[in-house]
This record gives sequence, C-alpha cells and structure tokens, in this order.
Amino acid sequence: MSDAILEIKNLKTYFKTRKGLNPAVDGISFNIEAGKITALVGESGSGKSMTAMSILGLVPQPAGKIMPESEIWFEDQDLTKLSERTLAKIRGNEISMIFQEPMTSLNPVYTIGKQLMEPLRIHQKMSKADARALALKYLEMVRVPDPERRMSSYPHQLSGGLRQRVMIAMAMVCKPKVIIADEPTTALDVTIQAQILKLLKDVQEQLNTAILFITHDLGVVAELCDDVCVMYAGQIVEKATVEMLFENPSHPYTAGLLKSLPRVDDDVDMLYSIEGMVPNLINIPEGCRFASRCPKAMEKCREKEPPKVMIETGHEVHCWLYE
Amino acid sequence: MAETLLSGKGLKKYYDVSAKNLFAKKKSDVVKAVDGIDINIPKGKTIALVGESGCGKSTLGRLLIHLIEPTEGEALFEGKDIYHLKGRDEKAFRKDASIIFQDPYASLNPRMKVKDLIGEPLLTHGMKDSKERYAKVAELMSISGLKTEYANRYPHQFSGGQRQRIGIARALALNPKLIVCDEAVSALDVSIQAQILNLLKSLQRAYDLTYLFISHDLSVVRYISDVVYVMYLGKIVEYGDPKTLYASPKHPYTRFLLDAVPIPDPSQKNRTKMIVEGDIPSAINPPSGCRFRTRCPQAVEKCAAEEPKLVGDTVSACACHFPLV
Ligand SMILES: Nc1ncnc2c1ncn2[C@@H]1O[C@H](COP(=O)(O)OP(=O)(O)OP(=O)(O)O)[C@@H](O)[C@H]1O
Ligand SMILES: Nc1ncnc2c1ncn2[C@@H]1O[C@H](COP(=O)(O)OP(=O)(O)OP(=O)(O)O)[C@@H](O)[C@H]1O
Ligand code: SF4
Ligand SMILES: [Mg+2]
Ligand SMILES: [Mg+2]
Repeated sequence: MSDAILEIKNLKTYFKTRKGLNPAVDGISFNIEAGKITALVGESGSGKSMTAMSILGLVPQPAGKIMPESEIWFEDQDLTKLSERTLAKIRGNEISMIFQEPMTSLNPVYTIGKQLMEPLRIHQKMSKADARALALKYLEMVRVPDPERRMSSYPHQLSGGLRQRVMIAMAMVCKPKVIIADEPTTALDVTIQAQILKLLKDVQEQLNTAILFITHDLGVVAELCDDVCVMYAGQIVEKATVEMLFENPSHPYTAGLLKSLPRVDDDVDMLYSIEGMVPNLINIPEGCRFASRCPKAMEKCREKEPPKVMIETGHEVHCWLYE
Repeated sequence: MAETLLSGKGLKKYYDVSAKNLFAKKKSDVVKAVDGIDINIPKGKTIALVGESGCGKSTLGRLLIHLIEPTEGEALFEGKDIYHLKGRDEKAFRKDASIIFQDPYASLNPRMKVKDLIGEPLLTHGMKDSKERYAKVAELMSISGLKTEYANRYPHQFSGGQRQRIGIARALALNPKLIVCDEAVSALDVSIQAQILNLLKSLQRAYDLTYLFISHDLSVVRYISDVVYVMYLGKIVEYGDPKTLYASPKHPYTRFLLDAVPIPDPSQKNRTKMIVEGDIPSAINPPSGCRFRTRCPQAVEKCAAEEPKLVGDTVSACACHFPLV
C-alpha cells in the first residue's frame, strides 16, 4: 500500500438538482499505485466520470460539490483543499487526462505540434527547439506515421485513431505521475481499440506511470488492468486485483454482470440477466443500493448500509453476505 | 436448409459526394457504400452483419427493406422483387418488414404518449377503432416487457432499456416476418443489453421471426446469430456460421477482427493475437484488387491486381487469394 501515489478517501461528490440531492459519488475510497493500471468499471451513470472530475478539480459548478469530509491525497497534499490556481499547475503536468472524445480536449485552431509543445514551454520552461524535439519524440513513441508532417496538421485532419494517439502523446509529454483515461477507446472500432490499448500499455511500462482507466467494458479490464474497482450507483461495490475479481467475483452485482456478458469465445443458449434497472439516486432508500435487483437480498440488506468486508487480502466487498 | 425469406443479388448503393461548388475542380467523388453484395436470409433465422464503422452495414440493411433505392441490383422477398412492388403488395411488404434503431430516443417522437407511439403503425395501416388499437398496444407492451400502466407516459420518462422495448413493441405491431435490428443493443449497458437480447431471442422463437442483426460487437453476434456476414469497405469478405467462423476464420480481416475483441478473462490476456496496423481506407477511392490489401500482412502483387471473388458454398465462403487454413 506504500506505493500509493493517489489516495482517495471517502470521496463524496453531490449534485443539487431541482428534484433533490443526487449523491453521484458517495463515499468511495481507493488507491492508485505507481506502475499500475487501475480500472474503474461500471455502468452508465454510476459515477465514474465524476470521480475523475473530482480528482482533477473539474466538477461542474455550481451544481456539483465535493463534500468537506472527502480527501484526495497526492504527494502529501489533499487536492480537495487546494486553490484552483495550485490545482491548475498540477493538472496537465503531474496528473494528466485522456478523454473519450479527443476533440473535446484538442484545440481545433492550433496545430498538433503547437499543442504538444505548449505545456513543455509553460510548465517546464523549455526552449522552442527542445520542446519541438521532445514533441516529435513522443509522436514517434505513440507511432503516429510521418510525425514531422503531423506536427503541422490540425486535429480535424486526423482520423479518430490518430487523434487518440496524439492525445496519449499529449498526456505523456510532461511525464505525469498519474494519467486519468476516461473511456479513451469507447468510440473507436475494435481493431483500432486493440492498437491503442497495446500502445497505452507499452508507453505506461516505459514511463512507469500510474493510470486510472475508466471503462464500462469488462473485457478491456481483463486485458489491460492490474487492479479494479467496480462501481454501482455512486459506490464501489467490489475492489480487487483483476485476477481475483474474475476468478472469484463476490458481490452479487459483479457476479451477475460477468454472467450476463455474451462471449466471443463461448456459446450460450440464454444469457443470465440482472432484473430491473439502476435505482434513481435522488431520495435513495436506506440499505444496499443493489438490493432491489439482488437475487440474494435479505431483510437487513434493505434496512442498513452493508459493511465493507475484506474477504481475502486485497479483495474488498461491500455486501452483507460476507459479514 | 430453411427456405429463403429475402435475398439480395448484386446490390449496390453509391453516393455522389463530389463538391457541388461551381468553381471547384471538376472531380467526381463517389462513395461505394455497398458495392456488389449477394446475401441470403433464411426464414426464422438471424443473419448478422459485422464490420467496422463505415463499412456499409446500415446501408445494406436499409436497402434490404427498401428504405433507400439501390443504385443497382435486386432483392426478392418471398419471391417478389421489393423494388418494383405496387399497391397491395407494396403495403403488405411494409407490414412484413420493420426496423429497430440504435438510439431509441432519437427515433421516438417526444410529444407522443407511449400508447400512441406503439399504436402509430397500427393506425397508419387502418386500425381506426381506438379501443381495438389500445387493446393491441397493451398486448404489445406486455410482450415487450413494459408495464401496461405506463401507456400514458412520454418517452423521456423511460430509461434507455425501456425505450428500446418501446422500439421493439413498435416494430412488432404489424406482425412482421422480418426485423432489421440496426445496432439495437449497442447503446445499452451490459445488464440491460442481456435483457433485450434475451427478449429478442424469445420473441423469435415465439413468432418465428427472421432477424437481420447489424452490430459491430462480435460477442453479441455470436450469441444471437445463425450466420455471420463480415463486411469490409462495401463488400462481403467472408460468411459462415459463428461457431466455425470464430474458431477458424478464413479471411485475414475476420481473423484480425476476432483477435481484437477483448476477452473478459485475465488468464487469456497473453494469448497470441494479431493486431492489424493502420486505419480503414476511405470508401471514396478504395484500394484496387482486394480492398483489405493495404492492411493485410500477407498481401502480394496479385492482391493489388486482381479482386478476389467470394468462393464457397451456401454455408460459408471467403474472398481472399490466400485464405487462412
Ligand atoms: N452537471 C451535472 N448536474 C447534475 N448531475 C450531474 C451532472 N453531471 C453528472 N451528474 C450526475 O452524476 C451521476 C454520475 O455521472 P457520471 O458522468 O460520473 O457517470 P459515468 O459513470 O461516467 O457514466 P457514463 O458511463 O455514462 O459516462 C449521474 O447520475 C449524473 O446524472
Ligand atoms: N446519405 C449518404 N450520403 C453520403 N454518404 C453516405 C450516406 N449514407 C452513408 N454514407 C457513407 O456510406 C458508407 C457506409 O455507411 P454506413 O452507415 O452504411 O456504415 P455502417 O457500417 O453502418 O457504419 P456504422 O458502424 O458507423 O454505423 C460510409 O462511408 C458513409 O459515410
Ligand atoms: S486477397 Fe490478399 S490482400 Fe486480400 S486479404 Fe487475401 S491476402 Fe490479404
Ligand atoms: Mg462517464
Ligand atoms: Mg450503421
């Protein structure tokens, strides 16, 4: 645990809405370690992106708020207590990000070269020539064909796969300690996804970066990640190494999810399916949030918040079954 | 072999995308979205179309139910050419063939109540009596797994999965024989996707439905389909039953596509897999000869000079000069 580079403790990010308070992220704790890829996996609306936004200090204002009891520790600083100015220095430099849609973070009016060089010039005060040489080196590293020419291309002149490579180069160029990648391959075709995942892994191993990888695809988790947190309705329901999670999925939600996946390598007649749907978080009732869909729910599941139980070293489950 | 419900022959759909600017250099740019496809859809089965974005899946699906006009080719539904139907035959075909889209929200009128959305096709096909119509709507809702007490709600009051059920109820309204499912489960979460896939499968069994299932997800396709057609840049490169096709693909592209699918099992993460290089070329000026040759590691001169023909039988076929063994 001493390798933790980022420690998230009891993070709560709530939204005020017309219908009431939405506890979008509700008391989650996990660590991200250097040299490892940690997956945050869960279905739509489970709070993955808001967790990322909370770490980066980018929670939509004024609707959203990180609650005061939350802590996010990075190098002896609690990020939730820093001023926006201090955070802005960390963001894009020591902690950087890759989004699903690269066009949201690439500036359409600047060339790729300029966008790669700028953070180096600003954060690391590099000369133009040095910044250019390094930018080129990173474009080569992410295997952008013909990098010299691409330096003077604009984002819209690149294919989706190439843009995502450029994004990875941009995220890496300042040698950040942590990269947060929010569904970076979800919009891509599988063959391009396979290229990008391999690339991300190679670059990560070379630079020993810690990556928080957000996805809803359990296949990608198994293929790429070391540790995994499964989110459901704003909470982490299970936390384990990837091997443990797939070997011994212990929260009924995780177990159900794995059983309901159609497999490319196996035949099934009818899929298992989890009944019902994700509950509305506004005015959520007491007890376990999965209770209304859980085949193993007991009476106390509906009454009291379940405990977090360590069922084996490094494998935590948020469920009454293991109490 | 089941009898054929619908078959397409020599189907082509070209789009002229040349700049319409008077001063622009005169150059004709044509997207060959579907470029000479034969396909056979047996009754009561599920035929899947797979391939990467832009390869022409939706275009082919729309051609096959005559939502768009072909540039060339014919399609026979129960022996009749669907592009030249008139009067009663045309109306009958509209009832027999329906479609479910990826984004149920975009395809549903937000100002209509669910009972009227589902009842709309019934009304256009002459079921004027509202009592009779709403009774049928209630039946369709329960078949599709929607509570009938929601009949007076509007689409925004439903979740994504429920909206897809509304789309299914609508598609079933006229007792169709064929349903084109265009990425019908792609936007859904895994737990909801499993519910909808199971629903589609049980409806097929109950009503002897035929599906043309369009998807880019090879895992879903293995689960749902009886025959898989693999498309690349407007062409069919291979087809076969999923079990055999997935175990031993003959076309290098099929192999790449399958190897790229992440498997939710960490013990398999170091399996040997081939990763295809580069991007899909533009559909405007596709490569000569075999369209896959620019990304194919085993391409030789012949691949650029000569277009490989789809060789095989009614069960499986592959279009490659050097099929994998
Ligand atoms: N600006 C906002 N105002 C109010 N609520 C918000 C806002 N942004 C997000 N939320 C809520 O926060 C919750 C979590 O959203 P989040 O984007 O983190 O989900 P996610 O797990 O990333 O989902 P997806 O897989 O769809 O990206 C949702 O219930 C959402 O409605
Ligand atoms: N109305 C149109 N005008 C011009 N080009 C079109 C039109 N419709 C489709 N195309 C082009 O035809 C090709 C095939 O498109 P199609 O939508 O059939 O692909 P697809 O396989 O369904 O892709 P996706 O997986 O992204 O849905 C693409 O290059 C597309 O840009
Ligand atoms: S025909 Fe040639 S280029 Fe095309 S897939 Fe076969 S080997 Fe590759
Ligand atoms: Mg998100
Ligand atoms: Mg399509």
